[in-house]
Amino acid sequence: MNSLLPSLSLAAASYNEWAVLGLLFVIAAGFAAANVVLSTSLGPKRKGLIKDEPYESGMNPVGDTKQRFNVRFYLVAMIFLVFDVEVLFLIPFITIFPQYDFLQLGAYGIKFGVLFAAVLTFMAIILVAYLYAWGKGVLKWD
Amino acid sequence: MELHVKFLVPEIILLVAACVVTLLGLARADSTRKMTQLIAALATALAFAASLGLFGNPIAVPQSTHVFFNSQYITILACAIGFLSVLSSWDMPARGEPGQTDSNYRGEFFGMMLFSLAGVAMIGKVNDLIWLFLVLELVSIPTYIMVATGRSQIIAQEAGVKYFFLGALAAAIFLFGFSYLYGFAGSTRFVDIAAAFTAASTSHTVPALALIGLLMAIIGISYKIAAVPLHFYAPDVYQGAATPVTAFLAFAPKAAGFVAIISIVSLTGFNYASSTGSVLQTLLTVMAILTMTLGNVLALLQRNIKRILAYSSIAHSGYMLVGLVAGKGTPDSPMSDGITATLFYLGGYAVMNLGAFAMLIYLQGKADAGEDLDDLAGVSKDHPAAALLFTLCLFSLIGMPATIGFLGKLYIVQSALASGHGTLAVIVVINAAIAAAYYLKIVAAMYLRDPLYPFVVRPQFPLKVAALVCTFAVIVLGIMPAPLLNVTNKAGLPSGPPAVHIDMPTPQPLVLGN
Repeated sequence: MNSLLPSLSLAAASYNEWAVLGLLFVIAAGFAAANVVLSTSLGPKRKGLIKDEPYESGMNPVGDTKQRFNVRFYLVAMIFLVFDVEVLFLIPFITIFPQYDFLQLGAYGIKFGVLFAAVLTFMAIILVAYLYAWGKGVLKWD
Repeated sequence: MELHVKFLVPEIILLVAACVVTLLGLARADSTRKMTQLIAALATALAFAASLGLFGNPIAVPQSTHVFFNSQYITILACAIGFLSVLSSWDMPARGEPGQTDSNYRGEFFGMMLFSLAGVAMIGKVNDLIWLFLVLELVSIPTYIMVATGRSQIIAQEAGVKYFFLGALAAAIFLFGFSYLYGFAGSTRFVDIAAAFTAASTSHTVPALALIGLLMAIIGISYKIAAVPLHFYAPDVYQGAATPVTAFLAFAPKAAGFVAIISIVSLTGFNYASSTGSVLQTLLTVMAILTMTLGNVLALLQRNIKRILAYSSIAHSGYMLVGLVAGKGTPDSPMSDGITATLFYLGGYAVMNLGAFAMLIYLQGKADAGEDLDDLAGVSKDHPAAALLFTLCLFSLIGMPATIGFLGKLYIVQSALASGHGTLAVIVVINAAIAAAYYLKIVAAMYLRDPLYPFVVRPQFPLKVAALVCTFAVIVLGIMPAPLLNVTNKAGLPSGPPAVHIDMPTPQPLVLGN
């Protein structure tokens, strides 16, 4: 299976270079269709009162899921994004973290001290976003 | 490489000011919040000085880094037009009647404007597809917010949402194109992609997917410049947004989009003779013809002035695309250089368009006034100076001689003729004639009709300054274009990949323990 796709695309490319594009669309459409068809045809269908209830982490459900949520949930989710993006950038930074020396060369031939300052600047900008959210009263729940 | 931060002084000024302004907008005291636009004006003025190198900072980014060939011009343009944009949106964001400012959102508004301007200033200094995407979004995402918060009417919310979702669609299209370019070259850096195109076109083996990547990238970015096929959002969004925001929308995304498209085309070395280049040229030709014709013809049908100016903005994108079709020309005939013509037109359009919009803002003394042609009837009786300035800017948009609009069209047509695109040049001239009809309709309403009701204007002094400076520039640069021409011509055009290749050391693996 591992070598099937490259060899298929090679075969297609030797036929016509545009055939690769056609192959891509066939795979994309096929994947989407196969998922729907296979899961409806192969999946076991057991209906029942308990099965049809919304799943609430094992608790007994207290009501319908179709209700309005407080807009604050979405705001908190957006602050979460601030930190999520921060982590997303900090982890690659850690992987190029030199062991000892601030004058050691890191990625792109930049001295580590400069790299460190860049990351601190980045965190300061993230902090501005956080302070803004705080000042707007997103963290106040009442 | 670390020294390259020194080329970003104007952008850093704008970004720091954007952070300060955003936080200052949260201040409890209204008087503190009112300082935000002062700081924004100061920051753009400082950034303008920095973009000219007045602080001793280096400005000319070396060609060896394979950035856009004239990044300095774009930075200067962004800072100058940014300063005038801040002046012309002095009492933004509006609430109800003009003059009543919703100062709760003032910090956000000017913060977002500065973020977007920083993106425009930076777009020429991009040398990587990832950077190109990030900077294009840095330009665009703040403008979505500005459209939605600039005005408290529901029509602005609708415009903001529409602009955001369609913008996301366009971003998906050009990102998809970028992914194919990456798949073709194995690198996101311009220097590597350009080298891959050079190698592939000399051996006549440019794969179809690379071509698809180029086409999708250009078509996706055509959203930013409001060109066919992704032009359709412009009238609704321009009409829904507050007028100062509309003026900003007609500049920031368009400037960034044009630089991005030129950067993408430059990956193939502007070699329209190659098979890849000829496909690109065909695409750009079709886009140019459709964009200017559609923009001008549909503008004839409008009665709302902001919709007229929206369609006119589409049409002007079409003219600028003609310069791209002409390409970089031959070294022995400078007039065949369509890229410089496009950059000149971009600067000229930014100035004359902002001048026209500033006068429109000035004349919108009441909420929802100055939207329809009837609202401007007989302006010249009560406000002759305002009507005159507005008329001069509109004449420049038509392309009347002795204005910058005329020179812009002249250079575009010259480059099209010199590169053998006579038909395209004829279409430009016919379109310029069609365009005169709807611009003159506005002029006629101001001069030949009687006022329907007493006129109220916005008295802000900065707004008057912005309008005066723009009109002055339209006339002076229309007669003496040398200063602008010198900046647009600087540094020559890139020819294929650069000589110097910067090697990136392999990142050291993370060693845990011992």
